[in-house]
Amino acid sequence: MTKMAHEEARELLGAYALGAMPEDELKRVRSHVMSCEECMREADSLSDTVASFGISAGNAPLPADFSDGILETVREQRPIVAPRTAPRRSWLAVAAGVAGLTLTVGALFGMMAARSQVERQEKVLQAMLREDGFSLSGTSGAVAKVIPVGDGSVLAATGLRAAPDGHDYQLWLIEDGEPRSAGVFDVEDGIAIVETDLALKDYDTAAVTIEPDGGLDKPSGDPVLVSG
Amino acid sequence: MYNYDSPVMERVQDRELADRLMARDERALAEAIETYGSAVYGVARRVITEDTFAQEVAQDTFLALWRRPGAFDPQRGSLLRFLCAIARNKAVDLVRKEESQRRSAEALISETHPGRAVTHMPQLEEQDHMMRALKEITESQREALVLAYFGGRTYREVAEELGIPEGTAKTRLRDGLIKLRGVLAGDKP
Repeated sequence: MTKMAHEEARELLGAYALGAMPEDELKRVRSHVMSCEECMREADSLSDTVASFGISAGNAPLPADFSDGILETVREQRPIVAPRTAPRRSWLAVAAGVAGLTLTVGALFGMMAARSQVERQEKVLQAMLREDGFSLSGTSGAVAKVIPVGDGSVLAATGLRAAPDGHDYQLWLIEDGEPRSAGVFDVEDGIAIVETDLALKDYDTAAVTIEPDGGLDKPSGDPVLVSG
Repeated sequence: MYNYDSPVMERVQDRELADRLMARDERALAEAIETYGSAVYGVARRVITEDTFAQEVAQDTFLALWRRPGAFDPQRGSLLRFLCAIARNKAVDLVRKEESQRRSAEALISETHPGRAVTHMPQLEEQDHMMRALKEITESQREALVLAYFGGRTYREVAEELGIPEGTAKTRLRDGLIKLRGVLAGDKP
């Protein structure tokens, strides 16, 4: 991937702010914007103008059942949201229980370099103490934290038993009730440190389930750990 | 930077709604739908051909607000802008997956002509302000912006559909936004 020159990136800031970048160029512009204060400020400012432009579509009369449809969904989800320790929760309910989360991108954590058990424990502790990220808890006493690291995220978990034979743990990041697999893992001496490319800021909930070896496309069981 | 002031009453109402949504007040959600539903549905309809899909996207937008009310920051701009941006992104995601839901360039351009009232519905003051600002940019800039934003086209697709060089498409998008920003900030054209 070649580095994008400042002038070239500047030309593209309009398309960038409008979400009109082709996939292949998007990463290059983004990486320039992240490292160039001038372009970052201009991209922010243009995004603000884009948001204003976005209200210009004009109004459309609402279908009769529009509001009721939304409020019904909200009501259907209401009872399952309340108890945090409820044994069975639907994926939608998990997401619905989460209020707004503000995430900050942390400095590189250096977690994957940890080799020894002591080092690993220390890394987990560091993750737990961070104020950003998602804290996960479960019924078995295990705790975990998913934190933003670089462009991706890292899960640090402690107190987990080894996954049953023929099974793996699987980490899910969830947005609006839609789980996306962030990888499978096993634990070593109760500790797991898992790196994923998925950026935490795109999701509202994190959860861990036990799945058949290699993991599945969608979670099949209840989460053993969940944020919220 | 939030570069123009929407009417004070709307901003006060936004803050109050945001607080009540955080407190899980369902009536606040109903009020948000009543105030902004038509605008949000308007965005989805602009992007998507079939009304049933557009309705789903608009409804999902309000559900997203309900699930994560903290994502709306009144300091950053109005609730109207926030909701319209969510609706646009959800709608564009859908048309990028479902080719059949994509509006043609001609439809997009003609339907979003400023001053052309698609319906006779009253507009929010902030929308009026925006519509007036849009009259200050050139027709070709407006077309490019509409195709990129509501059409979900990349700048390369904008170039292709308008039959212009890619460099020109990039410039129109950027200059259009810069001009619009100036007008909204109160510069005289």
